[in-house]
Amino acid sequence: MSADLVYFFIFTFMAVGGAFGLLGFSRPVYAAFSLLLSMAGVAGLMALMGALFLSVIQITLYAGAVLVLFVMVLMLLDQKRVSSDLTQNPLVTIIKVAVVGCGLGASLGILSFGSNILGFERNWSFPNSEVYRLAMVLFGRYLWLFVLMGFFLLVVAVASVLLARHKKRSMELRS
Amino acid sequence: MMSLGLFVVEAIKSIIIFLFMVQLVPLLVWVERRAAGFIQDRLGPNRVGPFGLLQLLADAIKFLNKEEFVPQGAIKLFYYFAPIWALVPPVLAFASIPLGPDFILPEFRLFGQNFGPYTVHLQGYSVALGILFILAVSSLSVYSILMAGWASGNKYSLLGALRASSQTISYELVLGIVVATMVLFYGSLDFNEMIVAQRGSFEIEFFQKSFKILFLPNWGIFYQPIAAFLFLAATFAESNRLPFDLPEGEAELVAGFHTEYGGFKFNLFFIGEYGHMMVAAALFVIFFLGGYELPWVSAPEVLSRLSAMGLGLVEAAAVNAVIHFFIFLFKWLFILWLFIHVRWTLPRFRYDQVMDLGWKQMLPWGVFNFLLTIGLMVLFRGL
Repeated sequence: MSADLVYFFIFTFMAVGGAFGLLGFSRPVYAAFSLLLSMAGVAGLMALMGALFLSVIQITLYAGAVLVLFVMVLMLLDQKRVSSDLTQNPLVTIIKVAVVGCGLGASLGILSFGSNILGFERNWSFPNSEVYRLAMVLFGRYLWLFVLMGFFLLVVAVASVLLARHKKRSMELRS
Repeated sequence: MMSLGLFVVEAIKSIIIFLFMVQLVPLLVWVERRAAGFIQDRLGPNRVGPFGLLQLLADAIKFLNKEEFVPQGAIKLFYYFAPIWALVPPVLAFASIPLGPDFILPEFRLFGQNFGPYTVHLQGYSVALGILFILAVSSLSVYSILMAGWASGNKYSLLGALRASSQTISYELVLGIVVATMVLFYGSLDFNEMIVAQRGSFEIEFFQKSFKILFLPNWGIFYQPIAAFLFLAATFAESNRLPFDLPEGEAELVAGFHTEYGGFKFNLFFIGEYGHMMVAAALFVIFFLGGYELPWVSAPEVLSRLSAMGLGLVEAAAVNAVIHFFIFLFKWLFILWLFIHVRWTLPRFRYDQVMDLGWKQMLPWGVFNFLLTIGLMVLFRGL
């Protein structure tokens, strides 16, 4: 077994384990630290694939800046337990997430590898620049994946706004 | 895949660099306490050993002998992990800083096997991304403070941690802008290339004509004085030292995020803080003071002079490495001395003043300097 393979398993374990921890922990601060672990794992995987710049940027921006703000706020609030259906039983949560995640991953895989839907992958007469190649991958080969990601982000944004509004209204009712 | 021999050499080198860093902390503490004594017109520690030098040993024994405790309401895992993590980012960052030119390890025999010859870099490991790697690693040091403050189960600790981390993040922005300016200026992320770029004497290209000022070395500080000043000030804030040591303002927060830490665990935080200082000082030396090289005379020139004096290739390279390591040490210790001197001369800021300084003064100046550098580079070098 080569060293790279060992590293691959370590980083994969970090990334996937962190992702499960994020959903499984009922205490928000633990969840945030799981996310940190997952980010570090993903950065390690990127470095293994030779994308050193990307992995360093991932650490600096996401682990070093964005998540710090999350952790700060969560620590200040320091809720012992979030009572929601998703996190009441860690085992059930993990099963739910695994089922949904596998389904999602499979459908996305079919979508992205199945076909070159818009026929973007022909030889354009652009210079063979880095930006061009990146754009081809993102907007050609993985276009539907890209669109779906955007859709999910939109759903998340709408849901979080809804949750925030909902809480406010219930607090008003109580007072 | 590297060979076993090379792996062992690299591992030993890493351990030496780590020990070098950790062992320097007590010496710096001694210098700091003595200097503080003299600055405040008293003697400082002078009872244990010559000039009080053994005070450090006594301190270390004291730290190791203290009672081990966990406060009630603490979260054990994070409580113990925080001081360990405090040491990791500075060590990782310091190991990627070049301390001198390469030297050659001749062939040697060990365990009945022949090894070498190896070319050894005086650098823990060389990352192609240089400064970006250091920025990434040191941005993770905030977590140590946050974990310590939160896991202690103490309001003072938490407030101290929040102060410390918000301050670190604010000044990291300034630091990032300054680093971006310097990367732009040198056109490289690699430390060795930055050092090479600072050889010779001061020279300005102005519309394809070059003007030389022979009495100034070609150091970054003469081209980028604003960046140098901002960098120094931001690193003071980053390493949470006076005049920016708000996180542990005794009058307000007991001792900040490490209120609940005693004995060796506190010591680890302490070493971490000094580690940040060392990394910052080393970066300053590389960005603005020509790294490990002499002013005007480059390392290859010194090497060729040494070989001209009749030394063999291996010996000349070794002497060259030692000479340049000491040059680096001299510059580096000078900056560290500056840290200590400032700490005992300036009073502490108020918290809103710290934030105002970071966001309203230093950041705009940093952005201004960045834009100015771009403008001047386009004008003079004709990008």
